[in-house]
Amino acid sequence: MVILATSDNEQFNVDKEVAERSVLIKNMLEGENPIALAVAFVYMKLNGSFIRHEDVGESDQSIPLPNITSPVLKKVLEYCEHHRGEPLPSGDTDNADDVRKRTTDISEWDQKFITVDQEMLFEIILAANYLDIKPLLDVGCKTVANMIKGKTPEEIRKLFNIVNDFTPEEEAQIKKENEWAEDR
Amino acid sequence: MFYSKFLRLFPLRLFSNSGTNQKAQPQLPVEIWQEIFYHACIVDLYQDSHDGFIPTRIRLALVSKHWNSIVLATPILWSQIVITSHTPSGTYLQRILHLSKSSVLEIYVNFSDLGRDQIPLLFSILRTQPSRLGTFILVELCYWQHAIESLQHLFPMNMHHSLDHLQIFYIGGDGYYARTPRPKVHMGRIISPNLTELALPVCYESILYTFCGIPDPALRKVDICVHEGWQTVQLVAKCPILERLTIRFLFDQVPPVPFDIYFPGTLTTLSLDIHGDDSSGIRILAKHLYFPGLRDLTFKFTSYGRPHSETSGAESLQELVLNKSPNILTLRLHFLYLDTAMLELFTYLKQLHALQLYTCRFQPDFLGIFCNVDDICPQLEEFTATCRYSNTFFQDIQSLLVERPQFAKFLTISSKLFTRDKERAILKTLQYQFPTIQVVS
Repeated sequence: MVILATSDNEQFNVDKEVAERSVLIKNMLEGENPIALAVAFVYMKLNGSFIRHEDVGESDQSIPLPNITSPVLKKVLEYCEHHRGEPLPSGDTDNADDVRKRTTDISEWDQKFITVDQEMLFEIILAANYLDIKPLLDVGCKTVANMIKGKTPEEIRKLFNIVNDFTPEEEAQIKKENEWAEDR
Repeated sequence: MFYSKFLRLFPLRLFSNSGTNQKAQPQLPVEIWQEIFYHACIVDLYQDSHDGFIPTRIRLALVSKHWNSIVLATPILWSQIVITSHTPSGTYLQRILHLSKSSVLEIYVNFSDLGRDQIPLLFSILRTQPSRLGTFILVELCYWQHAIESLQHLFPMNMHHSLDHLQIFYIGGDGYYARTPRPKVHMGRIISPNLTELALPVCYESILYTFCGIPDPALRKVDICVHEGWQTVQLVAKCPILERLTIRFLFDQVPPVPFDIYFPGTLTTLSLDIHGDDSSGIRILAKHLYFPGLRDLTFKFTSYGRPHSETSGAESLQELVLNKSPNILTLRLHFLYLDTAMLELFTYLKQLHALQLYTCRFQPDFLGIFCNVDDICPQLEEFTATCRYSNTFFQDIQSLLVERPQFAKFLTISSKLFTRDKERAILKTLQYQFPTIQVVS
């Protein structure tokens, strides 16, 4: 078992196999990521505990995840648990990219899983990025991409609460550069 | 592609007011936005409709200055170019080429109502990017003049070392020009040694024989039609690492094959798309074609009226499948007519992992054979049977599942078939008895 500690000081006992869906944690457990270990080290020191290299991943010592809250980690672990045992993406990104390229399809389970409010969605994406869980990051990015598709700039701004900081002249210039025609 | 290790190692709290404002503006790292934009912008140029196409990248660039800067700084978002009669001037095209930097280009051109002056302009601009042409899809070269002019521009380019994917849908064949005498076209060949995929599924012009780089050494996937003769197919068979091949027959009759054609052992997937006649077509193919490495075979027969023949051609298919391609694991048959001889064929195919059957003339034996022969296809992992006409289909499905409940987990049933109350009741019972059945609408 591996203990993961969230930023709000909650601890999660997780099967090593599940935790290792995260490449970051996997590398930490294998001692292959000195920078991550250093980050964990600093964090533990700041929190008054001490971590030794060989302690990482041991049952009596937790791995700090200083920028993930417990509700987010719970969701991430739910994903990892469901996909436990599935082959991890290989380092051969060219092929993987090619497969990902043509589709924004998301499996039925993943779709249900990622049906969360917008804030949680972005938190999951950030956590997946931090923990290096590429398939989860993919699901998150594809979900946001699907939200964007087919929408006008104004609809997108409204969706994500983005302020239009273009002046009318700047907007007109972009449209001109791209020979944009609203009625097309 | 856009993942940064450092992002993971030195994360920042990016939601400054996280938890207090549900509609806070999402502040993701640029790399993640690039990834999201990539998924939002890159479309399937082969399938998506391009009518009134406005690239998503332009919508994104208009959202905010931040998004605009991300879009402009992400070359891959500019790598797909769709050219239709609506596409603006050459300056715009040159701007896209500039923004896409060194990304490999995917270009889709719909010629259906493209102005004649646009064609030379298009090719003159593309000529400036000799090493970036990755995918080239030309659609609706219906008008002979358009087709010839475009291809004449395309062929002498002689620069397609980067081209790995070329599709040209529908060349010629419009009624007027089909009846108009015109000179034979000799196009020569495109030199594209890295071409891996080539699709010319509908081509009524007599250019196929000399077309493209066939048999280019890198070709792995070819989709081609048989129009005037088999010479092109014979050339395709010489591609040394060919893996997937689709042969389409544009007319009702399969033309006679004047010579034997041996395909390389690397060819594992073959699809034959035949109009009209079941049996004679198979007979011709079975006699002259050899595919020793085949694993996946699809026979697709389509007809708008009655099939010409009253037999399924099972004997010929048997010869093709059993004698010439003994390693087939997946068989997909779209049949107009399914007879007992055809059903018997399956008893010989014990090695099959997947079997898909489509027929418009359903017979009870169709499923009965699976109920009664216990050792048929013992390794079957996927079984799909689709039929259009049947009075006893629902009862037969029920009997099948009672006899062979293991099929339930492979079975997908369209709920559209169950339109009457009695049929719906059967479907409900089936779903209750066999919860693994998938019902799709």
